[in-house]
Amino acid sequence: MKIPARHRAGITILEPKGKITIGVGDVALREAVHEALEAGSTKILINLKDVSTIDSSGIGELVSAYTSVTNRGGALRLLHLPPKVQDILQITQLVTVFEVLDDEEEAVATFED
Amino acid sequence: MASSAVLREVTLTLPMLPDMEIAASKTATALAEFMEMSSDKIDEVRMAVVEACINSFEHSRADDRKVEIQFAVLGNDEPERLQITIRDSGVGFTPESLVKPRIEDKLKAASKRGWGLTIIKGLMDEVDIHSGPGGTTVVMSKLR
Amino acid sequence: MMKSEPRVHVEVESRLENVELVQIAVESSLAQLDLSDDDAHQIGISIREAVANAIKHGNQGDVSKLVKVEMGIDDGDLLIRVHDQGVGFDVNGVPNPLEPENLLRRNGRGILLMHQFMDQIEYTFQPESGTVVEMRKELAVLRSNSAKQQEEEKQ
Repeated sequence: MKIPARHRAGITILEPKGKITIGVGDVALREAVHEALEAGSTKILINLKDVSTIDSSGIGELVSAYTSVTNRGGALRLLHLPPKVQDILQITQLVTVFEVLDDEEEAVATFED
Repeated sequence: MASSAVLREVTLTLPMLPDMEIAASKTATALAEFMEMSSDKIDEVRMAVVEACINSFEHSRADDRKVEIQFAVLGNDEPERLQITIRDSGVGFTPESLVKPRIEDKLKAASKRGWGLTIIKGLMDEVDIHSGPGGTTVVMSKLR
Repeated sequence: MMKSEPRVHVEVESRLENVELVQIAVESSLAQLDLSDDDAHQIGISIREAVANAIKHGNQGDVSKLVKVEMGIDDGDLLIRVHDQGVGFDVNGVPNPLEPENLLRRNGRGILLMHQFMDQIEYTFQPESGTVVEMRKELAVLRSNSAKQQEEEKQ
């Protein structure tokens, strides 16, 4: 299962669907971020709108994607958090780490400086 | 050497309650998808599992009201197959005691059910039934 | 022991892809309880985490070792037990994932989620058999059912 990617104004927008859970979507997410970084993209926006479930393994991948991108001087942000994902980010206190946006235009603009 | 090594095995024990057959059919579907079985075949497996479970729920009269379902992905030499074993400890039946249902009779009868085994045999590639006083075991398999 | 039947059992080998499979089997056997979407989600995540821990840390990925999941209703609670055949693991050894220095670690959030989503969690370790994680969740729908049942028994 490959995660679809779009490009817009130098930003890679990843759009995972369904589950980001152990053995299902976690590895796919890691690969998609890795691929974007390999291609030289350091502005990554992950649109979580169609993600139904995320578990600790999926959260771990989000965090490690965040660290890899930040370490390269880039930025990784999240777009359209569904309530269940929001809930889990809240519990793990990662809402304080990730920049989360609700609007794609606005999100794209945050990468502009 | 051996052609039927077990690649993956899952055992599910379900209480004989309404809708529990869905848990069995969903598990079968997930395994069949994992094997990359075609969606037509997956539908057939799913229907066979539902039939076999409902047969057991309705006719086994097992005291423990439980059915054990074992799923095994067998393979090594291509093609792989999914083998499903459904076991209850009910009263059993003798295969001879089962009269093959005739469609004319069925249409007249009040109950349209009782097609179970015939349906299962049509849906799966191989079906083996052991039944006796200790219970019934249906072993069925589908090639990928 | 789980007093009240019926229960559902699932037994799988220690492969990570079985986490999803257990979750599917358990989720579909819970369907008849008419759980709220939130309850179903919370139970699902807790089972995933417990089974993933059993596979990774309990059985240490040894495929020949099994993970057994039992689920039943006990005293108006949903009761789930996850058994592994491992040598035990130190739950308290997991660094607190909420400490600022741990926020960016990849692993270690499973137990936090389980505690958040279930009402009670207990670990038992026996050297000859492995670890059992027992999780309970109070469910309104079960409470009202068992109250009804008791009422009927009185009559």
